[in-house]
This record gives sequence, C-alpha cells and structure tokens, in this order.
Amino acid sequence: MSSNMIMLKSSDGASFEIEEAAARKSKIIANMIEVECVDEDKAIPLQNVTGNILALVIEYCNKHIVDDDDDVATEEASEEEEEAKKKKVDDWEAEFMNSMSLETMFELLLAANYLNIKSLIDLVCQTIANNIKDKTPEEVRKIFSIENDFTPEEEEEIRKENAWAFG
Amino acid sequence: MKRVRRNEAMGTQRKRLTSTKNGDESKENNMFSILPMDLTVEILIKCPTKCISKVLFVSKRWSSIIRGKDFTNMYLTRSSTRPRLLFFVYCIYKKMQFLQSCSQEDPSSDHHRVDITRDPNHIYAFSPPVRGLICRQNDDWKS
Repeated sequence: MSSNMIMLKSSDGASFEIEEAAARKSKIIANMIEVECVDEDKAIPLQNVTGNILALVIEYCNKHIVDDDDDVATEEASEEEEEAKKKKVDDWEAEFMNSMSLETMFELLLAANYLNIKSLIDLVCQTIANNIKDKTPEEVRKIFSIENDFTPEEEEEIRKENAWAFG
Repeated sequence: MKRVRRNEAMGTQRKRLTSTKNGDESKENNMFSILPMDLTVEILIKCPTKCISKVLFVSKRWSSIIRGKDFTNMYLTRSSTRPRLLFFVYCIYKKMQFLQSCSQEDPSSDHHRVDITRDPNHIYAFSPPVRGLICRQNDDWKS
C-alpha cells in the first residue's frame, strides 16, 4: 500500500494531510489522482467544506481505509472474525455519529455528497432517518425546525386518507 | 494523519453557527433546506413504512416527495431487496390468530405483529402475496 500523503485545504483555509489511500474514499479526489491533477506540493482546495467538517470526513476515511486493507489481507478470516470486525465498525460508526449535533450531521452529509463518499452518505442518511422514525409529525417538525405549511383542513384531509397507518 | 490548524478551523465554525442562530431564528432554520432534493429523498427512503405514512404531513414538500411515483417505485425496489418472513399463527383451541412478520437479518428486534379478529360466523381466506401485500377475503355465507 502506498503511503503517499495528500494535502487538503478547507474553505476556511485549514490544511489537512491525509494518506492517499484514505483520500481515495472520496470518488472526486480519487478521480483527481487518476488524471494526475494533484500536485504533490499543493493542497487540493475544497471550497464547499469547512475545516471542522473536513476533520470529521478525514476521521471517517482514515477509520475505513484500515478496514478495507484488512479485508484484502485476511480473506480466509472465519465467519466469527468477520462478524466481530463488522460489529467493531458498527460500534465505531454509532459512536462517531453520536458525537455530533444534528446541524453538524447535515453539514457532514453535504460534504460527503460533494466529495462523493457513498458509504458516508449512507451512514449519515440512515442516522437522520433513525432520528425521524418513532416520532410524530409534530416532533419531526420541531427537531428539524420544519414549518408546518398545511392548513388544518388540508392536514385533516391527509389524516383521513391515511387513517389505516395510525391504527 | 496530521491535523494542521484544526482548532482554529473549529473556532471559526462555531462563531459562524452562533451568528446564524442569532440572526433570523424565525425565518429559515429548517435543516432540510440546505439539502438538495435527492439527499432528502435518500433520508426518507431509509425510513420504515409505518414511519413514512406518518411523516407524510410534516410539510407540503415532504408530502409531495413521498406521494411521488418515483419515490414509491424506489421504495418498493429497495424493500424487495430485503425480503421478510411472514408467519400465520393459528391455534384451533384458543381463539388466537395473528400474523407475524420479521426481517431475516434481525428477527429478534425487527418484527411486527398483527392480530386477527376471528368471527365464527365468517370463513375467510388469504390471497397469495402480491408485491408484499396480502388480502384477506371474507365470505359472510351465514348471514
């Protein structure tokens, strides 16, 4: 595995050094490396990602690059080991997502989308979805500051149509 | 990894967040407003069915996404990649019947039970499942 280092620069000017293997988690950076438009001495500017969000993205990439390496190295790992490893990653992801506010989650999602990191998009979307399920519409509106733009009559109409779901 | 100037970056970020909060609290704090449509769809599609039918009236935007044909198709495609088991539990001596569905991956925590009311005056049958839906047909032959 190459240990080339790449520099990334956030929109607010913070620079981060990251292993190429980890940076390749981002399809957009991987493409830039492929077409050799990455200069070793120059940082890649990421105009849509602030420093604190980029730090989170890098933390995620670093964690997952190690896991991918393991997969290649120990192909004959037993099922139990596989399961233990998966659980370790799941636990790490749960703690990682737990450590941030909802606002940060949304910014992280935007950054993952911009950098095209599919697994991180999935993780954040699932975590936000978990915040929605088991909640009433009123609670959902409150948590995410969504304005209720239905008139009481319109709301009543939809409630009637979907009465089966509230049984 | 070497984190260069991370602390400074975090400082700026915190300042930025507080300033927007104090700015216009009443106007546009909707967290989903910063997301492009496809990401909102991506989040909603990951909600369980029962939840989808409830969040339908969170806002007009959500309602129009969820009721859209694209969303319905995507939801169906996704859910058919995760087949569930359905049991019909029937006990002839006790008046107890129910349907139990559970996921194959995590049957112990992801399951759902529907009790069936039994009326001795009726006989009924279940249709074979069509795209995950089954139909209970009543035959009120005695009445």
